[in-house]
Amino acid sequence: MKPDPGHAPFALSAEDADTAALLARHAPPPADTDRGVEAVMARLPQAVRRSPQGRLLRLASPLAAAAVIACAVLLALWPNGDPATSPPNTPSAAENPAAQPREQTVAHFRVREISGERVILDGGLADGLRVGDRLVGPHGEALTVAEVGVFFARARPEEPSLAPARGARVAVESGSSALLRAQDKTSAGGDPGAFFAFGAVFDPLPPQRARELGLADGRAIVVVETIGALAESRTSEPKATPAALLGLQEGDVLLDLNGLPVRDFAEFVQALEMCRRAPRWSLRILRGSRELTLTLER
Amino acid sequence: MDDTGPDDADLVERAKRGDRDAFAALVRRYYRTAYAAAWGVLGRADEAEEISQAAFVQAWEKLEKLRDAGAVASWIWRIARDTALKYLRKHRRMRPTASPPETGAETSPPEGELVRGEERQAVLGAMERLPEDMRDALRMRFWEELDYAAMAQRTGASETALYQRVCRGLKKLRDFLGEGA
Repeated sequence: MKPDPGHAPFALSAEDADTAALLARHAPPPADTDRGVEAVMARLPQAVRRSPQGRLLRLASPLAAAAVIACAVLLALWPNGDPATSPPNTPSAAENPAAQPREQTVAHFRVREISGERVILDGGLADGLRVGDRLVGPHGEALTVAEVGVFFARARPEEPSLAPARGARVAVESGSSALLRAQDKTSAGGDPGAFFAFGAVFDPLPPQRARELGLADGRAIVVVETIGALAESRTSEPKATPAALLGLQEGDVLLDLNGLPVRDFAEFVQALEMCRRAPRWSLRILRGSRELTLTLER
Repeated sequence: MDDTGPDDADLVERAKRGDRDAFAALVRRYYRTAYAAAWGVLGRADEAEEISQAAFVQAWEKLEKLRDAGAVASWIWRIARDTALKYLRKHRRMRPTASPPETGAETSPPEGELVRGEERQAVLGAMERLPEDMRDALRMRFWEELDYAAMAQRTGASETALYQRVCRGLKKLRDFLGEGA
């Protein structure tokens, strides 16, 4: 789209200007740059950075080394903190199922809207929900998940006349696999396979298994669940996921996507992004001890 | 944002040699970039601030891995976004909506808040689906409010090329948002 020579350069069409206004409306709130810079620089001395020669900073003396090890042991044994105030990537009590009785951990969602015979919830695949999961409304209304999207789900009331109201809180049925998935912080829904609607949930492959498979790098991710179909929007019909179309199965170990290594979640995200516009996906995997290439024309 | 003074390549080279002032200048220059990336995933300002800071600490540790000093903005964006995604996965929080904090009483959020929350989720989701160059261009133009000259200085692309990315990005965004209508 070239700027009209009769108007200011880089002008937007009316349609583009409307879209730009929508985007600007949802801009992040202002960042506190001054405080951010100060906080970053204050944290730097605690971080160890490789020198230009690639060497880690060395400790001044064996005594200092012993002090560091002692601190690490103490921190590992220290009780976990409040998840609301813990810094990112710090394990907290809420994440450790052993630290919290299961009956006290409940997954809740809210009713976003009622659409025909469906109750639309504000959580989906990324929150651990699956087709068939059962939930209960505030007055005992029973729901069954009928379709899922990444961040929403459509549920069917078991009694059509007994649907929870908009805004009502519904809970995952106690003891259900949905509750277990919600409790399990290391798998089921909260990883790039769910976020990017790929249709598979992964776990890191145990290092011993990686060695048995002869993986040189010792790192890989393994499919723990496949999701056959996902709805892209609240009103659209579910469509087969890329994982289903590729024929991915539980237990498959990913090797690379279009030649890009996939050894952990970060590389998987990167590979998905880089292959986003590729007309063909070739996913190399290990199934048992066999190496296969799954392909998908897009 | 102040784009005068040393360029990114100069600051990166100095920071690689341990110059903390140079790194602080980079942090100041790209803090909003990291913040926008983190906020796009998390939707909460307090968490976005925390993740942004964590991203820069990671960047300090990994500076030697940055081969193209001219791509530091995109590099910071990716670190912040990956860190935010990992944080979201680990803490298993629901994607933020307009719902009010949990209370003991059963209350319904105002309809306007639900609609705005839905719209924000749709916009953020559509932004995530854009090609990286278009997403960066839209973010710089409408979230960081840079003019095309500043965008060109940051990216090395021409102002015309950036304008085209903005226009194509807006159209693609409209297409994605239209799919959910």
